[in-house]
Amino acid sequence: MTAIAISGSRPITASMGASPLGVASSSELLPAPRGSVMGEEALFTLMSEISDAQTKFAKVKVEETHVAKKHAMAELEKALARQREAAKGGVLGELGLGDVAKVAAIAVSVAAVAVTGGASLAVAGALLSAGAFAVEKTNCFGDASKWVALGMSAAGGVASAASVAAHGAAAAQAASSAAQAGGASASAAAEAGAEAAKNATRTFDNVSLAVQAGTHAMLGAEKIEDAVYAYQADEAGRDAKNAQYQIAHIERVFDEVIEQLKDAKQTKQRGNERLSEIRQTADQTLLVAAGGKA
Amino acid sequence: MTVQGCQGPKSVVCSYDTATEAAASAQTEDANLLPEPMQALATSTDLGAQIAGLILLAGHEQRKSAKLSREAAEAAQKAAEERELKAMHEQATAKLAAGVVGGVMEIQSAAALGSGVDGNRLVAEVKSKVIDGFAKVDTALLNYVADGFGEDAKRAANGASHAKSAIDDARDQDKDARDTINKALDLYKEYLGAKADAQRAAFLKA
Repeated sequence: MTAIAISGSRPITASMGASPLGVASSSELLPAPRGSVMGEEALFTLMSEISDAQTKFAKVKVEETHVAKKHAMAELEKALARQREAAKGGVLGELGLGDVAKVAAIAVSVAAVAVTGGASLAVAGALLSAGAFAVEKTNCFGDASKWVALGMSAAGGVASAASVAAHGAAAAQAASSAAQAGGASASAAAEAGAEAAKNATRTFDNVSLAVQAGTHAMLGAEKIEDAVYAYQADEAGRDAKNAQYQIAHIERVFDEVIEQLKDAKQTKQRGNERLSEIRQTADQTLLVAAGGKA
Repeated sequence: MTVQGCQGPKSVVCSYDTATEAAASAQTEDANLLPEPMQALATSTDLGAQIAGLILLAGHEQRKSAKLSREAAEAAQKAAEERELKAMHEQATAKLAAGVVGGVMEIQSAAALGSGVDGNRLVAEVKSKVIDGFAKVDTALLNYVADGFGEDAKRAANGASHAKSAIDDARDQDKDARDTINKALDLYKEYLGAKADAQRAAFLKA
């Protein structure tokens, strides 16, 4: 096509006048002939293809993020469930039957001290039972904890029983001695009474000490149990937070992909508009050219 | 560089030079196989095309800058979140240690107290109290350490929050840049349409 210069500006040719943006074609004095705009058509077709590829990629990315989000949500739910479970476990009021039995074993051991006046074995029994309780709750021996706790519990029971038996025998022996000394004097009886009162006080002291020791041991075991449950709850909370962060990241990626999708769509739309303008211009050119020749 | 067909005040010439320099530097930075529309516009002899090209280049640069800022903020946020989670773990571990140490020492105290049965009660009680005292000190120390980790976790969470704000700002910046680019394209299209109409009218008059 002949180049036409207008008021000192550059000559209007198809190759120079038409901008790669596709908008310059409408600024030309005469529309460029169809043959010369093929390059631009190809360019915008290529842009459109690129937009399509971007759209496809974005769609795949959307699906991926959707799957990742689902996974993260499942993780979050699991972590929250674990947190709830751990929070429940630490409550004293929610002791199971086994716990009640162990507490009862300790109480029986202490009662044995009160009844028999024998302390050492009974206290050992109480401590063993408390230890068993702690071992089972903290699971400090791993899989073996159950058996260790069972052993300690059994030993505690045996110690309590031995205590009862030992002091029962002692009491029988004392009764027999009293029968033999039937004709003893009144002063001896008074001494025996004072000795009995002293023994009763000592027994009371022993019982109170044993109760204190048992309570301490119980509180210690409970403290460990609470700490373990609190740790589990904290860790579950941390996992939940991690899952929340992951979800937030995934959502951000999702938003970005959506933005890219919008961009690609807009680019394609713009490219198509320009392409249609180019074709329209080319058709007009042909018409004008045909009219001029005619 | 020679300025062709650019007749106007000095500032226009300067802007043209700047545009061409920017276009040249952009060309050397990343050589694309496809044509660069912005460079073509910026190096055009048409004033409207130059302005549009400059705005487009500015928008493009703004987008690049926003992308870099966003990437940096994202990395900072991720690092802060990791720090926070690590501190939370350390805090939980320290709290567990405090609880276990406290519990174990309480059981030891109970054993010491139990030794007073049928023995010297005073000594047993003193032993128990001493163990209780140590338990309190140990627990307090471990709780202090746990609180320190808790503070670290809070600081890291604040850092993550700031980084998130920076990400949002970068996204806004990117959106603004896109709007600028779109506006520049629309304006250029309008400009070209008006110019073409004027040229047609002039041609027909002649």
